[in-house]
Amino acid sequence: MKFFVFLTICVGSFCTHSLSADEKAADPGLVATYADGKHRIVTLVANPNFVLGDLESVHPQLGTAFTAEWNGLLKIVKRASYTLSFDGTAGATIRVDDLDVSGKPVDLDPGDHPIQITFTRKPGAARGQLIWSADFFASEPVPPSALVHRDTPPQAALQGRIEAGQLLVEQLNCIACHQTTSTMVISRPGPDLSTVGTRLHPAWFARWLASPRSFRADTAMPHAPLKADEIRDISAYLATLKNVNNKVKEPQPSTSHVETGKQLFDTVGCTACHGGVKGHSLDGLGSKWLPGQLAEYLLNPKTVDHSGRMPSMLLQKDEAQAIAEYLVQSKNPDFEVKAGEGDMKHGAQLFGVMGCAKCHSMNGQMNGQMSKKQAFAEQPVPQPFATSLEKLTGADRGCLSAHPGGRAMDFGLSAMQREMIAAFIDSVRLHPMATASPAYEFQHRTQAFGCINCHELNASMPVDSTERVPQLTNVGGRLRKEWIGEVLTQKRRVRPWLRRRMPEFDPQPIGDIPAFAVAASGAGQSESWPVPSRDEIAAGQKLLGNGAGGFGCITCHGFAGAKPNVIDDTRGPDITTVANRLRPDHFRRWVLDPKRVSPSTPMPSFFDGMPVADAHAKVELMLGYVAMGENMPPPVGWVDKNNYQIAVHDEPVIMRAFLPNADGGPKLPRGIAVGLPGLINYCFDADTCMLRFAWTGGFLDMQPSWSARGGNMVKILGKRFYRNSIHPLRIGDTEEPVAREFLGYSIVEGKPQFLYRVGDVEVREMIAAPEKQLGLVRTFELDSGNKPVTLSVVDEADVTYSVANGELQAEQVMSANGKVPGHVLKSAGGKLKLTITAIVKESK
Amino acid sequence: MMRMHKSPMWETEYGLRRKPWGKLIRGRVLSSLARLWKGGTIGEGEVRRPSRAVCAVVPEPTACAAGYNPPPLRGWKFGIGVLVLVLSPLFAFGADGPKESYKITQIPGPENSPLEVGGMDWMADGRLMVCTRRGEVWSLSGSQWKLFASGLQEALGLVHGDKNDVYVMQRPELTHLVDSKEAGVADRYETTAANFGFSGNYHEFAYGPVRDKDGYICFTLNLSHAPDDFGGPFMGAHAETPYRGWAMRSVKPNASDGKFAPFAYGLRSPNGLAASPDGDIFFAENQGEWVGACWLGHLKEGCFYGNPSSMIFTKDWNNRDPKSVPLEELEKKKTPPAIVFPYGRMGQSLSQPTWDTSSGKFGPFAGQIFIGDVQYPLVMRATLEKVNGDWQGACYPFLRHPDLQGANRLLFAPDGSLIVGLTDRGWVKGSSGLARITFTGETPFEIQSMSLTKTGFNLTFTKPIDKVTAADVKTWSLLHWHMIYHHDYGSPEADKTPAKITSVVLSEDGRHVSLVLSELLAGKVYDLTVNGLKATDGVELKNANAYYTLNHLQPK
Repeated sequence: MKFFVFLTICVGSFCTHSLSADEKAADPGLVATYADGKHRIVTLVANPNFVLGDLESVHPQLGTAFTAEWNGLLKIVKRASYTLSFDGTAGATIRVDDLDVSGKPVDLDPGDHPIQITFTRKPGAARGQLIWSADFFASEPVPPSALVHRDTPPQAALQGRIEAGQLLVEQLNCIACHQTTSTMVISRPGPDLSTVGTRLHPAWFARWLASPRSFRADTAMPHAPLKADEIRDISAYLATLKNVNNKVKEPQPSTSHVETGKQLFDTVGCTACHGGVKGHSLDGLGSKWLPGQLAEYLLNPKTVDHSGRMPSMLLQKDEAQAIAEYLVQSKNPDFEVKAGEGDMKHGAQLFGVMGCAKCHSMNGQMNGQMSKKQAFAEQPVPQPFATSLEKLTGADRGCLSAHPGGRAMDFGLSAMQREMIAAFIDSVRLHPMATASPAYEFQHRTQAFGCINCHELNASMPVDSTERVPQLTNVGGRLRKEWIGEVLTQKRRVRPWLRRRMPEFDPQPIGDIPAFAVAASGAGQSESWPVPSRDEIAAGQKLLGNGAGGFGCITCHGFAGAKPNVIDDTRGPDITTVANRLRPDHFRRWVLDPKRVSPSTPMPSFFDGMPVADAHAKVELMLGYVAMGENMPPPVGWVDKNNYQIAVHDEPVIMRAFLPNADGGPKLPRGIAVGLPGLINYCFDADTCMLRFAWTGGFLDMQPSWSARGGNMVKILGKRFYRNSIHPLRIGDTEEPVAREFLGYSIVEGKPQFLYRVGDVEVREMIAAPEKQLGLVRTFELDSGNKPVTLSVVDEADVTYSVANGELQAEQVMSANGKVPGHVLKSAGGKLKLTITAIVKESK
Repeated sequence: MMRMHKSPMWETEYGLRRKPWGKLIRGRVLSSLARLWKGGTIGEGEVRRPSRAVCAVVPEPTACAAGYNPPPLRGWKFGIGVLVLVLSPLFAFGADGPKESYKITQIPGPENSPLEVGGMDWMADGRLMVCTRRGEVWSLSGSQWKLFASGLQEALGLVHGDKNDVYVMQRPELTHLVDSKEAGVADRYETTAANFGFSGNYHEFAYGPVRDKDGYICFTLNLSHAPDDFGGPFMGAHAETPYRGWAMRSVKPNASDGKFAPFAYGLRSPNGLAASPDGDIFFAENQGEWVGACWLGHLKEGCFYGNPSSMIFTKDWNNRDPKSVPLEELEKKKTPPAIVFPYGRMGQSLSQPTWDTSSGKFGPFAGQIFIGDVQYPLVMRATLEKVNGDWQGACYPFLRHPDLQGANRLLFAPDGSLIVGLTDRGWVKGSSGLARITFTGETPFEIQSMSLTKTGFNLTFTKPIDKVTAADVKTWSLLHWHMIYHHDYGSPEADKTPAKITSVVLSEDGRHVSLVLSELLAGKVYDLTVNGLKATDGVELKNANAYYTLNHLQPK
């Protein structure tokens, strides 16, 4: 597997470094020395950062109380005054050039400066993140490129072999048979076999069992000590494991499919793990899989692979079909030779006895819990306990022997692989891996799941960099934890233009990688995005827009699901996704100087030569604006090619639509949305002749009504600031509610003046925005004749009302239960012009 | 809710997908001959050189009866040319093909606004008013578009008012748009009728308005899309949303008192409401539950048209379940369709009918009906006659062209051209804009009409027909069948039976054929195919089908 090869390279490089350290060239990372009184670990780390919960540590073999020391060189490129600090839990020291520099500015010349960070973990949660700042950049985590070391100590090289051994132990699923006290070692099972008889060619089984490595040199499947007749029996059994719900129809071979399949295979990212000489080989697949079944597997690998080795590439059905048809072109005739008939009943028994069920589940159930149908033989004979992992030593090396014999499985391990596994076992025998260590886990799992095959992470570069994919360096400090999870397991994607696809993983094996990513970054609690004021929103609309004073972000970035306005090639992620994806502190750093965060990004810097304070102020405005997420009103100059998004600029906009109500209220199929210049929008309900609610920010997204069959409830963009549940007018002496009837509206200066009847009195209502503040001014015109008119409002939190009839002011009253203050204006009737002004306190 | 695959507008299994092989092969031979003529090459397996023997028996090239005048021929091309002549009676116009009778052009729409046409009408001053599914009303004067109104909620129909005003049907209400300042822009949006339920269900379309002969304004309300719990497996009416499945009519002419009352019921999805020149109102119903195939119906007060969901709004209904009404009772109550459009062969989602008021400027179909389809790029034709006091008649294929995709609204222009307003979003790809069909002056050879006699049918053709073929009984294939009236979605064409033609009588002028049948049955659709008939000028029949819905026999 690619994985093995990768380990070899890794470990190989560790060795090389230690043996022939060139005094001039430095290697990436720092040398960390951790000690907890019982155990001392020397290891290489990209940075000293961590976030630890009460029961967590920096390494699974250490206790929670430890001392840590990181040594190496600080690489300085530009002469300046730098301020370094170890942000987080107090008590760390930083020494550069043998001087204590924690939090103090220090002038540094270009070149390598010895750096040492020390920290003592006390009980409780802890956090540390090495950050720095200088006059030419804002405070940021020290990038991994600035942290190097010379002279890798031999213990660190050994630690590298131990960690490589751990990966192997997990990959080969050693702990399925061998118990271990190391609770932090994970089990990676083999494929589920409950439908294997439907998926694969029946002739393939026997040859595979006889010689897995002659089919696939790097397989994790061991060669089991089986006789020829036993192999026939197990094969016969496997062939009976059918998918009773199989609906897959095998496709007709098609050359064009094969070509498409090859193209897809080469571009979407399959080759990151299955590429060329280094990857996990797919040779001979046509002698193993039926193409239709293979396509089905590609569409949903987790039904077969519970280990998370093979993620879903989010293929469309026809794409999976094409890739499958391409892959089955490769045949291995040796594996198409049908073995003789076997005894399936005996095969089922053997399946249990030989421990196949230790790695292979049935219907997702481990350890041979088969349905009756599958195991028509008796329950498998329980197999004797294998030696515990830690006891695999000395004479009894079992599967680790150079020539495994007896019941041991032959994994075809190389001498170096055996040595790595042995180093791991020797290490955990004395100090089990038993402490949760999220930062360690992050490094470990990004290797185990092949993340680094595509993504840059610290000093690790992907093999294939033809297409720029997001880096993982400091990913937990850049992205919101929730978003990382959504990307990994919920198919959330923001770069549809990439040919290479981010796979979707099964949540179970992925575990808590999002939290590990945060822990590895050492970043503090992510602050929440701010709630912008109307002025800030408007300023942000300008800054991100294409007009005067705008940075033209929408030239490259899409907005609200639509492609960018100007160009199609160098697209950036949709602006409305920013707040959902990024941490605000990262947004600031990124926008201020994108190339500092990622030198290869095509995103330019917009603030070169601008006074720092001005730049920061502008970034804060942008921050407030993008914080609205999918409620953002469009940037100035944005043209929605589908015209689904309705923006309000200098003229009011009226749109009848099926509208949502304020929280919990009935939906409003006969809604009338009105957008006023100045980002104040309101909803009038023609059914009840009532103002229902008002919102600020964006106006409407008509897509639910205007796309496909349409007619669905449209989306309100922006945030609601006002809700209304009563009609303020009462005409006549009656306390009973009087029926209201909607009669339409006239357009007066672009705004609608609603006309409706309350009883038999016609009322005209005009709703306007106050000059500066957030709120609404409602004017009612009516002639009630001799009927008395009462206008009343009930005060609500953050709303200040004033009610007037010309000069006549309303009196403030308490409601019947004396709790809710309100205003009531009573009039004898006649020709009236009444006003209600509601001013809402702008929340920040 | 989710069983959308069965609704009519997107069902594609039938009919029109069949390849018209005869035409296809003929077209291929013709086109390859044409290519040869221009010095091109022969496509594989299409045409072979004629033998000498064939050449020897053909007349001189100039003797072509079709007036075809080929250039001088040499060498092997000569042989091919002769072949064309041999075949020319079959191919009428030879390599040039027949001249088109109708031309389709686009009317450029307003900039930056998708014109998903919901309704069209003419103003007295000659402006064309177009309302759209995105709630805009545009006026077109010459080539000048002007936004008359906006912000409406899916405007699916429009009719002119007295002066600078129009009535527009939007989902929540019928609205009177008034340009009181004569600025070309509506400044008053007056609610004319909103006394019907609208819950926000996406299928609660409202169609119309139209004005009948006495000036009453009428509109129809689509059923809600809903599960089987209230009357139909896919659509039905809720008690909370009254008059779904009903047509509404103003209580007074021109809705002068603003009051509307329920008028007729049993409708399902009547996307297409229009008044005939005489002021009778017709509507196009869409295939689905209780509707075996799309059809055109005559809307009459108090009548029931087949889908029982809307019965819950009838007087004294007492909360009964419409599904519990015995089928016989429904059948007795039901007003039959005036013209059935065989599903698949004659579109799948019937839209608005319009009457040819061009007095011949649109060709030989003056007074007839043209009607669109939202599923297929079609404009079809229909004729009505009053038999026993009720309208019934026949429909015919007319034009099929990609530029007619989404033919939702049809309207004749003063110059005699037919304007087709396009939209099919949600059911097909989402077309929009206006197409214009213009008559080129070249009379098409068509079945002009099929009408009922006491003993069979009279067929009128647009050109005199070849008497020899006409006299052959095999030229006339006539079947009859009927739709099954049931709760299921759509209906097969049931009991397909050949009708026995006992005699064929051709008129003196050669334009009329009377088919006398051994028997005539009411309650059937008579399904005619004309085989191999040519006009006396050698032209083949453009569309060889007609479908007559026989509800009533001619009184004896």
